[in-house]
Amino acid sequence: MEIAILLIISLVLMAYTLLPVLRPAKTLIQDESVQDQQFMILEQEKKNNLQAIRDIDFELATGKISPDDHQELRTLFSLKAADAMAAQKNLQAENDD
Amino acid sequence: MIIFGILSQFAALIFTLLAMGLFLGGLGRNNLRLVEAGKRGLLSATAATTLASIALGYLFLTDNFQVEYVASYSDRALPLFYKLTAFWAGQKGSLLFWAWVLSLFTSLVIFNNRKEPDDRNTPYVYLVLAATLGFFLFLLCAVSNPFDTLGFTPQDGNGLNPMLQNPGMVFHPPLLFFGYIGFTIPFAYAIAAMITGNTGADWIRKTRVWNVLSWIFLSIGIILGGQWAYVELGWGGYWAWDPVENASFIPWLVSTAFIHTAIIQERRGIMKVWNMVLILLTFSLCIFGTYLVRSGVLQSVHDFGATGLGGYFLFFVAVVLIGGFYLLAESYGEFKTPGSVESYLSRESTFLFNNVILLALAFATLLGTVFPILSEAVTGNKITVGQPFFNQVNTPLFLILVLLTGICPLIGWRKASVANLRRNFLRPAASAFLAAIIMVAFGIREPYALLAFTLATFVGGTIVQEYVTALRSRKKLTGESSASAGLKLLWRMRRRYGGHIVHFGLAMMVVGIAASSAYKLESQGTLQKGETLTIGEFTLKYEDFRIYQKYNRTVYAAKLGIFKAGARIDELEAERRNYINAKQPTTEVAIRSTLVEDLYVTMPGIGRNNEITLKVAVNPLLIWIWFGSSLMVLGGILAIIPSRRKKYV
Repeated sequence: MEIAILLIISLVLMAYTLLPVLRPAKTLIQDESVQDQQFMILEQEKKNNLQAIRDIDFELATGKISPDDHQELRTLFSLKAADAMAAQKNLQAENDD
Repeated sequence: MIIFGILSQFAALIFTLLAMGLFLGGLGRNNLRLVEAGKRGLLSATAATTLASIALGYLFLTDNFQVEYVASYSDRALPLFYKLTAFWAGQKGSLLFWAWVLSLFTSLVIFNNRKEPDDRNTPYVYLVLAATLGFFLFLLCAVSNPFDTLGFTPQDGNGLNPMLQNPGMVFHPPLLFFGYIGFTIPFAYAIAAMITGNTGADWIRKTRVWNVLSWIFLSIGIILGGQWAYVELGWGGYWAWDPVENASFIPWLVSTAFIHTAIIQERRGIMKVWNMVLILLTFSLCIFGTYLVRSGVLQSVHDFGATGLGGYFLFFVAVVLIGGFYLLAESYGEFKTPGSVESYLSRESTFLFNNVILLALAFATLLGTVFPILSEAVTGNKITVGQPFFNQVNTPLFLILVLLTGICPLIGWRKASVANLRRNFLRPAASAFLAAIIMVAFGIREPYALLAFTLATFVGGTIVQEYVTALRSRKKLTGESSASAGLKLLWRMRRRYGGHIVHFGLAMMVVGIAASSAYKLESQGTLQKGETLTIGEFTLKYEDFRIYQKYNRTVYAAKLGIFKAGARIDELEAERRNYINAKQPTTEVAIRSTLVEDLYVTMPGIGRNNEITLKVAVNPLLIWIWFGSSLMVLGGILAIIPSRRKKYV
């Protein structure tokens, strides 16, 4: 009896497992193209620098860095973020062409 | 039900192997349907593992002593509560429990990812999870089957070791398992990222909740183990540097290092290779810890003896390490980042120092733990290093770690100027200095204890200053009341302040550990009824003795009146218990806990005329260890409460 019950359960589970194989074939999401990958790297670069600006703003407010250091770092991160955004725009433009 | 259990395990293994085949096929043929089927295969394996677990639970509840595992860890008189916990009392059941929890965690990952499209990364994640599950199911089916029968049915079982008949048995082992098993998920994501060359911090962001949650489980498991050891005499207080305790502590240390550097990768995009190394080590150490417990190579108060499983675990660890580091070497060029730590005076660099100390602690503890194996291999003799080794090596490292815990929040990300450091350090350092002077004035001269209290004050001062400064800024910006601004700050920046709460808890623990180690009082004596024993400010009076039956044991209880300055302030009952089927009586500790001290009483002997031998200790500030550790866990929980926008696996 135990064996019969388990056999039925196993058959149901096997059918459940293999059901997707009977559906029409579909491919996995393809790897991003080199351009897409570059775009993602730039996006991450932009996000990191924007996050860095938020960090140093908070740290200035809590007295962890001096106004001079804050200004210097803020300028640096803003430029880096702007560079990343500009590069993203160029990539998009290349793509559109 | 025995056949049902055995076949369920086999079914689970078949579904797991099938899932692995489907994932490989899906990747090889670029076929989404095969991957979908693979995921369903893992869900089916979860169902089958659940059935096997139910079967074993049922066999315990119905006292089926034909099953060797049930007969070894249960008996008819065992309370129902402990019959269920006997499931993981031995090696075979805990392996099944491990497989079951891993399958459930895997299903949870599949469920959480149900709306995410499957790219080339996810089949590798599931493949690693399936391979790990497959390893445990293989052990259950081929090497260590909990459904093995004796060939006869004994009248009764051997019963559960009396020391395991404690509420700690309900939570301590499962939570440690949850911690160990939870790290399989970030490990699987890390392996997938290395294979696919996905060099971003995606895998860290996606698995952050699992990382911290596993760390929380491991922390609670270790703390509960400490509490259990504290109340069960003979287990060496709350911490004895026992190999099995160390087996859980070492991955905890490495995972703590990982949690810290993962933050740097998320924020700065650097330390990618290092984080891969740390997660590989964390997972390997979880499995290695299991090897230490189950191989019988080390003497421990709570190992499983020689089980013949050691070789399999060692092989698995070798596969993880060799395979993992090979993949890392292959993808090193992609993961190596040009960015670096900009200044030694930055939070990043304190995180790096903290990593160095945590890994040094892990290495020292590992070395001390496996030293008997190494010495036997070299000299032929097992040489065990005892508590003095661990205390001498680890105490200074811990104190440096506490110092860094205080320094880290005072330094900003990326760059800090000396002037700012001076201003930020002034108040916490002054408060620590003042506390040190007061402590010396009150007669605290033990160097390590004094240093520990001073550093704990420094950490506390740092955290309070951090919070108050942020609170003032917020109030100034928003015009909110202090209460509103305080709560909003805590909630909106819960990741940051969750971390601070963890550190505050650590400082409390340090105070408790230092005080209870350096200023412990101990006394011993044999008393006739009416006689007294004095320790510190306490006098204990032996007032009454009684014998009674409860559940599966006979209890011998001595009632003790507790007096302080001549006034009766409380009473305690110290016990000795004789369990059915147990060869020796056990001692139950009586504890009177206050914020200031624990009065800790055990009764190691009872004479013919009911005279009792008492061992008494006063452990100052011991409860701070439990409060501090609870705070650490609460801080961890606060830090992982997700915001609505963020996705996690």
